[in-house]
Amino acid sequence: MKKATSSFGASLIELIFAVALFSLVAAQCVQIFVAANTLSRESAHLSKAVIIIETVAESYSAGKTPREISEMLGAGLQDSAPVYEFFFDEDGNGTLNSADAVYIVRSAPSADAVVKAYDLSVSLADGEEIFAVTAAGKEARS
Amino acid sequence: MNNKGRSHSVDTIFVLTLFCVFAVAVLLALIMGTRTYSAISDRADETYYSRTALSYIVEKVRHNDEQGSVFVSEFSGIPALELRTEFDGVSYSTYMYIYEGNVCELFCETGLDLSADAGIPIIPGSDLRFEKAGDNLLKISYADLSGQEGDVLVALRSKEALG
Repeated sequence: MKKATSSFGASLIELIFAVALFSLVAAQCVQIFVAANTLSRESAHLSKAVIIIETVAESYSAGKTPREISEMLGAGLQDSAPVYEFFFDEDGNGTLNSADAVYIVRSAPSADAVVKAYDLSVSLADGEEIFAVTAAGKEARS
Repeated sequence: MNNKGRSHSVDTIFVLTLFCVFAVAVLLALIMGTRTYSAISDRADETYYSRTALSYIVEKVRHNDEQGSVFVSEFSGIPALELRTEFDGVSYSTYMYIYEGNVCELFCETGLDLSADAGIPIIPGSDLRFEKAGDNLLKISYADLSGQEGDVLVALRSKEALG
């Protein structure tokens, strides 16, 4: 009988030890999963932001006005001239409703550039900036 | 003896419960791992196909950015982008189009009568459209196999590049 009790005690200690070890490893794994997921989401956002900003920059480069760009891309426009904001949904397509906007492209005349240029930046709806670039206007091209 | 027996069964139940908790925790950790992996993989695929296809075509267009060398046309009855170049006085065309679930590319002498299956598959896709969005502005729309669409605009630098 004593032998059986002692065997149970040993099993219990083994199991407690295994659970404790597992808890430590699982905590690390969960942290890694969350970090990987966050990194992947940021990477997807950056990738979409680059395509969106490239499209807007190319439109400026072709001499389009903010209103023309907004109509062409089906993107809502917040007109606070000379600063404009274009709205894009989660797939990177233009959206007229600012409430649906996941990506917001902000365009402002570049103060530092010698030639006509625009400072473009893409932010998430919560205001976090993802990517920024300076795009040349049409007059800058030879 | 009776007390000992009860204590023994409580021990057994406790050990079994602890083991069950451990098993459930392992299962949850595994499920979380697979879901995270699946989400990351899906996101990576989506981004890869969309970005790679659009970037590839945009770079092709830029490479051929010369006067009267970029055309929104048809190849074998399929909407296509035609990029013309000249070597030793002979005109050659590169066609980009969608065929049987792939973005295809075909380089051949201009005017040759070839079928769409002659092209080389570049990347999977379900739709590829080209549209003139202005004098020198080309709109490229691509949809991957899941139907996820993406557009990009390319401003051609050369005068009258878009034929």
